[in-house]
Amino acid sequence: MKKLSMILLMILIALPLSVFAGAEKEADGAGPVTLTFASWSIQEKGAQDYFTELKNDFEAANPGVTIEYAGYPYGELKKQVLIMANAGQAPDIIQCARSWYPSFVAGGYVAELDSLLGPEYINDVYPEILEDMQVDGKTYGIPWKASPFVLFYNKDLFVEAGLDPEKAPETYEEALEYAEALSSLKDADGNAVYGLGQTTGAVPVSGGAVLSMFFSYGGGIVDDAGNVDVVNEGNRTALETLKAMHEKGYNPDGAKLKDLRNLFAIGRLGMYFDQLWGMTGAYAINPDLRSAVGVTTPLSGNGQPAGSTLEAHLILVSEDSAHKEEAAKFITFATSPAQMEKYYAITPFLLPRQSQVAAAPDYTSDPGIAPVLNYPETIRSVEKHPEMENVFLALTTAAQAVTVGGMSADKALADLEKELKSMLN
Amino acid sequence: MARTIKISSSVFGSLLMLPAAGIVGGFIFLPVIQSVYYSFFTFKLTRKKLPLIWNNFDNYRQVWETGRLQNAFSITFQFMLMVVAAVFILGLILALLLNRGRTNERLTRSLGLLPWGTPTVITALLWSWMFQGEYGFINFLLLRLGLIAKPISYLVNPSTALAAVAVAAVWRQLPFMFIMLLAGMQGIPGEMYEAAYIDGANRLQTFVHITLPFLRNVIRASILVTIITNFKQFPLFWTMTGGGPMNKTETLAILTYKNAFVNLDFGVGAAVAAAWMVVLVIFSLVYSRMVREAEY
Repeated sequence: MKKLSMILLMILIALPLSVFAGAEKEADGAGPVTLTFASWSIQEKGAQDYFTELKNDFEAANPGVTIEYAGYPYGELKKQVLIMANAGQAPDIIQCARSWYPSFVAGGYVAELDSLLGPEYINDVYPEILEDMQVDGKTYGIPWKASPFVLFYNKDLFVEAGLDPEKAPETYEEALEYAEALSSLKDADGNAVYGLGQTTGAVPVSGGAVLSMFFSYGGGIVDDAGNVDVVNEGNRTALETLKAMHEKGYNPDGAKLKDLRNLFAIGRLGMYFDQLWGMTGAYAINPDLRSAVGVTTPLSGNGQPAGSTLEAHLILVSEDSAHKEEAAKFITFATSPAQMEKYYAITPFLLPRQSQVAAAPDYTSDPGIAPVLNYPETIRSVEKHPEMENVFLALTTAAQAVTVGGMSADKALADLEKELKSMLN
Repeated sequence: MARTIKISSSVFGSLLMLPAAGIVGGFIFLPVIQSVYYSFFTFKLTRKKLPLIWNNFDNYRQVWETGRLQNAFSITFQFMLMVVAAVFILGLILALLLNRGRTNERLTRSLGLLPWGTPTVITALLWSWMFQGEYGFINFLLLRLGLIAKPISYLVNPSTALAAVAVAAVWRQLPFMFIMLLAGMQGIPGEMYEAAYIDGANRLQTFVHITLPFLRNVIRASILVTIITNFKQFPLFWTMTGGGPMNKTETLAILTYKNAFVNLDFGVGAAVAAAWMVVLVIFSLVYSRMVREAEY
């Protein structure tokens, strides 16, 4: 009886070891490969069919390689990936928001892609976008979907306000004049219409929008030498514009992008800045909106060239992945013109590679895309510091300070400079 | 013949307590000690496999120098005082009304308990919608009544955000207070009031000299629970404001969470938590002492 117990115990101990041995074999590349892909988009209802098809197509084209999606909500994904990586279970492929990218790179979590994807692929990316992806000349992330902060406007409201629906504003000065006219409108229930929406909600993406406004007025957060430089004329004018938009009631207070999308969808917002794919949410609320929406490039302010941060969903390969080659194959497959065309059919975005654009004639003639096709020219590269997410949040605090906080632009910039110096220097 | 081992009753009692003490120690004290330990080290998930590094109290210095810790203490105390005062006063009034039988007690008690039974996150979402600037019920009502000229964004306005969260907290916690006080009032012997009225005492005098002294223990316990609940209040703030606008609702709980689970800087997060724990323990001790002294 005692011996039988011992044998059973040994089998119990040996069983998990044999499982680990199998895993080891897979890691050696001798067996089938499973790539784990951590993504938030897979959880979005409208994209699930596309991602299932992508997985099936890739697996059919690459026998022996299986894609396993690990879906997390957008707000949880970064944290989950870092926890998994520290536990030695990093996913092979990571979907990444632009604001998280510096954290993954600086933390040493992601692999360099230059050699994995090859020069032909890397050099195909628009140079302005590639610059924003590179750290010390090395590329760690590839944009899947790209966009600057474009300006959407409601042509029906333009007509109601006596504006030309085919003439979008090109400068902030023009946009403020348009906003004055739009703000005099009321909706069917007698609610006020907002003229010009800029997100200032306390989330990192709003910080990107505020920084884009700084760029468009010739400002920024660092000087040419890379030192924090916030108290400058461009930023001051940008914040004063934001303050005026608040005081004149053009912009809803502390709105997140989803709030602006809702207001735009129900005809209570004449113009607003958003990522190109933001309109998917607005169309989901009001499908009839499609024919009334116009889009234009970021605006210029005070005669400065228009600028924007790159808003992008990136794909990264984990540094700890045992299957980097296969992961790179997946990236190449997922970003091929044929796959991008399918993806583009469910959500609008801008293509980050030149060959993708050349292979998609429908894309260049799309009225929702054509006005912003020159977008790479507007992209301004931002710092690759691991604290960038907090920098973006500090920018939203400055925007809130001058709007709902009633602070002067000078004081808000002085506070912001102090905070950014403690983060970036 | 079996040998008997003689042990004293105190040792036997201690032995019986060992399993419970082990569980409490393992699940409560150990994590607290570990958290305090981490507060002295650089411990970030944003650097891959970064070992624990002793950093000469830099976590504490960091939260102090940015002013965020002081701001969080101030916000936490303001919120706690606001909510405890409102909950106690309103709870007392409601309990008195119910105790006097002026309302349908069963119905009022059942309806009154609804907020207490509502999960805090649902409460937060409910009040977020009530306070929503564009579509919220509060603005709809005030605009229709002509009391405001344009919508107010309660949760994104620095001067109203904390009060708005406090309203949600009062709504959620009021039933607990009034049920506790009502139970205490119903335990007061009726003869006490009869004797007082025979002696010519009026209602105010019976309230001051009979009701309040008899309720002392209930008041002490209920207020302490309410203080602790609001000192560590997290879901209402995180769901309704996330600590904004401009950190005007960034309490100690929010600051801890932001550092530890948003920035993934567990060292700084643990430092905030340790500072907060010390203050809460001191506050509880001082409060208990004050109440005890008031009794004698």
